Amino acid sequence: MTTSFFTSPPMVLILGALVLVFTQGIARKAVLIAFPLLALVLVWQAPTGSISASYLGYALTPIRLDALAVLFGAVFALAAFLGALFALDRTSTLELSSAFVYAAGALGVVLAGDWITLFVWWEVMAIASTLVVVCGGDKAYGPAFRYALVHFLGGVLLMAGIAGEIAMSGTATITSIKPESWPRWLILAGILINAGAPPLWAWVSDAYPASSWSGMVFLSVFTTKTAAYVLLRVFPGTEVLVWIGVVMGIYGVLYAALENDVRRLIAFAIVSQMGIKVAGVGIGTPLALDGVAAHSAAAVIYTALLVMVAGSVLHQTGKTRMTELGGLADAMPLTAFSCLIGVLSIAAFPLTSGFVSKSMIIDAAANQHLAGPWIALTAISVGAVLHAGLRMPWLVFFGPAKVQKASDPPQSMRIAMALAAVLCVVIGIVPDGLYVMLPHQVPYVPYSASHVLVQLQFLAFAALAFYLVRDWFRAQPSITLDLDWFYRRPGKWLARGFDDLTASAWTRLVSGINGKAAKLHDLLFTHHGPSGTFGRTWPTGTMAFWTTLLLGAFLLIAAMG
Amino acid sequence: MRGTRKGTASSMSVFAGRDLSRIALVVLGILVLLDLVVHHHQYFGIDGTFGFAAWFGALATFTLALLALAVGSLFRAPEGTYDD
Repeated sequence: MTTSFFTSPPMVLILGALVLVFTQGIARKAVLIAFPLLALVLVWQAPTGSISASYLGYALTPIRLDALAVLFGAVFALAAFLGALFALDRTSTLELSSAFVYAAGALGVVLAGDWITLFVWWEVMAIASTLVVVCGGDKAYGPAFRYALVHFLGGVLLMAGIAGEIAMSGTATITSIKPESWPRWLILAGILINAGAPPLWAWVSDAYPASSWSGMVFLSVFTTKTAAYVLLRVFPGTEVLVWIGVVMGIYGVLYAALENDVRRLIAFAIVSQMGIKVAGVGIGTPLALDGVAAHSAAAVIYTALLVMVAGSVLHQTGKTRMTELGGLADAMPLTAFSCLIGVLSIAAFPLTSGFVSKSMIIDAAANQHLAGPWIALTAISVGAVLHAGLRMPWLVFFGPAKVQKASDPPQSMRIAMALAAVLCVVIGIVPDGLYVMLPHQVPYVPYSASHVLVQLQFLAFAALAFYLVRDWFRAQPSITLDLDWFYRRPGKWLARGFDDLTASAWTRLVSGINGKAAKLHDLLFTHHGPSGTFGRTWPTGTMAFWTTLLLGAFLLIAAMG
Repeated sequence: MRGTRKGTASSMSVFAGRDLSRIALVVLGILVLLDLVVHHHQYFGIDGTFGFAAWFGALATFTLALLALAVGSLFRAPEGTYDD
């Protein structure tokens, strides 16, 4: 066990974020590399166990390490390392410090054994990740603002749910539950927002592509996969998740297939792959849950790889629209090769990480004889060939060259991509290294003749179908309207209408008060102004006349008395 | 897979070579024929049909492509739609 909370992996990354602010040059690069590695070692070396504390009368467990936490913690620390290595030349200290705090938040959630600790780290993630988005530049402000609004709403739902759950159960300890009360539904809703579930899924494709070439690597890893982790921990076997996952999966495939911006395409692919994991949590058998854990680990690496590929293209060409890209394979061979490894992994090609992990979830659906989910999940898995597997490399790296001068990115970026690509293949070839870390230890043999043949048939014939309809999916300078239209258009009109209404009401109130005040002023001015009865200057003669008159009247009354 | 550097060749030249097409067709054929010798465990019945993964892979991709086309025809908008 890590000896104390303050030397735990999340706090080490918080310290790293602080140290980054005060270092420059080589020292800064050393900090970027060393702190995530230190966090990785701490997660890896720590024996299972927990640290307890109390706060406001509640028993807290800030650190709770078991097999699932170690797996996710190690993968997150590894992803933080890859992201930091890729971002070694990035000058924005705000982005990198925020990214470290963001990674710390994700590790904090993974290690949290109680709801209060989890919520604190959850919000740390929300704030830090918003800052990472903001560092994308001027055009990122709008997406970052919308991102923050959605995540703070998620945080409010989660907080309300946690408060209700603690009030009803009397304990803050996180356990596996069913959504059978309103606080639990609120908790589920709060987590699902971070998972990219409908209806608030558009934040993924809105905010992630707005971040910088390096920022999106961190963003693509932590928020959605932490949500998968908490779902695994809290809501295994919740049936509604199967269909929510299927909807996410299909949505991601369709929108990615139509997308022009390569980084937004990957964002849609992230939602699609998250859909398979969310459905796996819903299936809820030990094989499905192990599959979700394994696929989360695999997806962290291959998604980071694909985002690094797109980040390299942006870094080297300044472009992300596929209408402006193409034929980069010769100029950027290592990036193109990394892309191929990444897309083979996401498409679950044998000998890659996707093959040994995604199929566990789909096989779990088959084992349970869930025909509908099995067909849908298989189609979603095959659909990865359509959007990422072939369309992305075709439009970015092959075909006519549209960018005149390009080359592979600087060394640190190349090493980060190469490491991620190697990991994708190593996990694919030696899956037992991943399987021994899974919580349920369900025996699973990915490399049977039947499984390999079935997968090769799926992929080969999906590729054939794509080849036949490829003209439908050429890059077009367009976007596809999403559910965020409701808050970016009617929502905006409503907000503007409300703004106009309150502004005119205020104007009327102010002008009304002004009018009354003016009338009062006029009245006072009439009587007390320079020419008013009470205010004007009276001539001396008039005053003498009235004084004489009053004196005469007084004498007359006195004489009569 | 290797692309072409110049912009003159077909954008899908990687698939366009006659030899490559033949090789691809042979590979596809072999993959289907292997179903004759490899036993698959059935869960639903449909997955035991000959060449199931082959026709399902193609059909699923084609169906998703059609759905994407439908979504595109309904919801495609210019890139500057939200620019104010």
